[in-house]
Amino acid sequence: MYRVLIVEDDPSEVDKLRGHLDHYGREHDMSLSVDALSSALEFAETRRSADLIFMDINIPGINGMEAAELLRTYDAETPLIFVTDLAQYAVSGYQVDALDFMVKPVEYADFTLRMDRAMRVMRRREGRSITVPTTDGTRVVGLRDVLYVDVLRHDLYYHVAGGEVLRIRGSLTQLEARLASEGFVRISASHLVNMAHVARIRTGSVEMSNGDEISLGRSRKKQALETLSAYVGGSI
Amino acid sequence: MDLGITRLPLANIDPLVLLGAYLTICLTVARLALGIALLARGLHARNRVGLRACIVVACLVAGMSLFFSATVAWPQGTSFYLVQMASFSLLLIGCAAAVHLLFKTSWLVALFVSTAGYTIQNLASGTDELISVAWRKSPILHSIDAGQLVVFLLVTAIIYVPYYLTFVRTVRSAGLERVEDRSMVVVMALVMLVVIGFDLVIKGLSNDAGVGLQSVVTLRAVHGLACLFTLWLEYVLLYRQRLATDVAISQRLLTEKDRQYESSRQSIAAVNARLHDIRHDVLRKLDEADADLDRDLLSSIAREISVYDTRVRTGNEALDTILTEKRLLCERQGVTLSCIADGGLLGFMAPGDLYALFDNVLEAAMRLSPTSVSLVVRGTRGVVSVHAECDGQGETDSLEQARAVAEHYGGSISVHAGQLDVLIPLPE
Repeated sequence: MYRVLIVEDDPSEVDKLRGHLDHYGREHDMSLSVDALSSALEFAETRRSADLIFMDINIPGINGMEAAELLRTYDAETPLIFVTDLAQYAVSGYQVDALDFMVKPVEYADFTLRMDRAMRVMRRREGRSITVPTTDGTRVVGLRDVLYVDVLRHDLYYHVAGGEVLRIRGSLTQLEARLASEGFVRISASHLVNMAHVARIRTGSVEMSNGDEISLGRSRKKQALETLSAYVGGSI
Repeated sequence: MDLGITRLPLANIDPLVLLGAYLTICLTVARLALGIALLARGLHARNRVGLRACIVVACLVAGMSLFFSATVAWPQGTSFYLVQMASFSLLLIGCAAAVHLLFKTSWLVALFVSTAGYTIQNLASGTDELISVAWRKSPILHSIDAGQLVVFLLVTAIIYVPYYLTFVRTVRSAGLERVEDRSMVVVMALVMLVVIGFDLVIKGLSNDAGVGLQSVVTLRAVHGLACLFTLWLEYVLLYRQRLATDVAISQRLLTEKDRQYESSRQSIAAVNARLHDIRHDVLRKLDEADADLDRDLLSSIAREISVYDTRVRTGNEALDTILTEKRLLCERQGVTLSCIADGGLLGFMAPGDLYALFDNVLEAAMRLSPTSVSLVVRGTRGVVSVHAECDGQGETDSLEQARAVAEHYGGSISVHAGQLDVLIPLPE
């Protein structure tokens, strides 16, 4: 169940979006709980949390762009989609890391295109976990906490957020196959990295969120960069 | 070329010796053919290749017999070296002719293939000779000798396997057909002079009792290096050719795009200025309280025009231009094009490159006949991420132009159904 929040002062636009969300939920066989706020001020004051936010730009009081700036000061991740009367208002939406925008009246085709992308980003944020049988007993580790895994001889080393390193016997190729759909990419013969923890991408290496720099293997570089570009763009 | 039959004693010719010498020629020619065939395998054979092959073999047998009789009959001395030098050079040219006769290929490619084949054969026979000198201090094969046959086969394997794995495979993947460099003629002259000539000189010296084993080994090493250098030179010629062709193609493409961008930029600026003026004229007329005016009509005209008068402002002129151009196109086809873009990030890229990149990406999206296209350009994780997505159906193009631009800036491109992602590292 995903929580969707609509910040919009025009009730007819709220109804229209609700209609699209219902339709989308039925089409994709999933449930969405939809809430609406009529002012950006209320949104800013209550700091209402959600999995996805639709924000009208032109609302009385503080406008949607300002509310979004405020949101980003305490929440960098929740996907945000602007709804606007005029396209030129939203061109600078990148400043608040908006996923995209839609122009009113919102057509279902325009809506579903953005919604598909929002769903991919939301699924990415779901915290799946794996069990790691270490020498000190079995540990359950959230995948979003794993920065990267490297291999030395036949041992895998899980580098976990906070600096901990877990060692188990195993094959990186098998782990790669298991985690391919979980946002992990093999960037060299000995490294499998969590793309969510890649802080900087360079032509020949990536820098992880803990500052570790890992080189892209010559033979895997092209494929790794392709996967990273799809991930960063929100296509996977 | 080392046939091991220099200074064949004219007196008391033993038929076995003659047979051994003739066999040596056959083995050597087989080796030469192997070196050439490995390279030529990727070429297309001409029509009636069987008949042509028969002609080549017939010429070869005739040539070999002629050479054999000449070696046996010719008096030893300086002129004998000249005969050998001439025969081997002729053989090299003959090889090129044979390749040209058998395969659909240019003379330069035939030269490339035969000089490479010849050089590797020479490297192998030089090694044969070195081994026999070191082993028995006698380079002359006087009779059919099982030991020497084993050495021959071993040396063939040791020389030809690395030759195949490194040189042949690299050259074939680079595209043999693309040898267009006339410097090949120079390489051929070099092979004749250095590889053949030097080989004959060493052979003469090593038969000379006054020259020590150490000197022969040194000379052979230098000869081996000359052979390797020749092969390397051939590879560089081919590689340089390929590089030059690639650069010429992308250069042409981008110059074309620069021109197109400039003309687009000018016409869009002109249209924008004109629309801006018209809109102001209409608004002024509305202000003048003229009773005859149809106010509603004028208002609606002003609104209509405002759609076109909204120049997209992303902070980058090239991106603005292509977006305005594509937006007009989309408007006509009933497609909505939305764009969130941080154009200010793109300043490090040349306008022509940007125009080519976004033109290619948006064209590819439009070809899927979508109703909605979304473009997001933002900076994140030290890269510019361009994401284009549409709801159209079908196969997305290969995006060669966008790929060339992305790779030029050290980036990458990824294509999913209806989704395109370009990633370009930001300069640090």
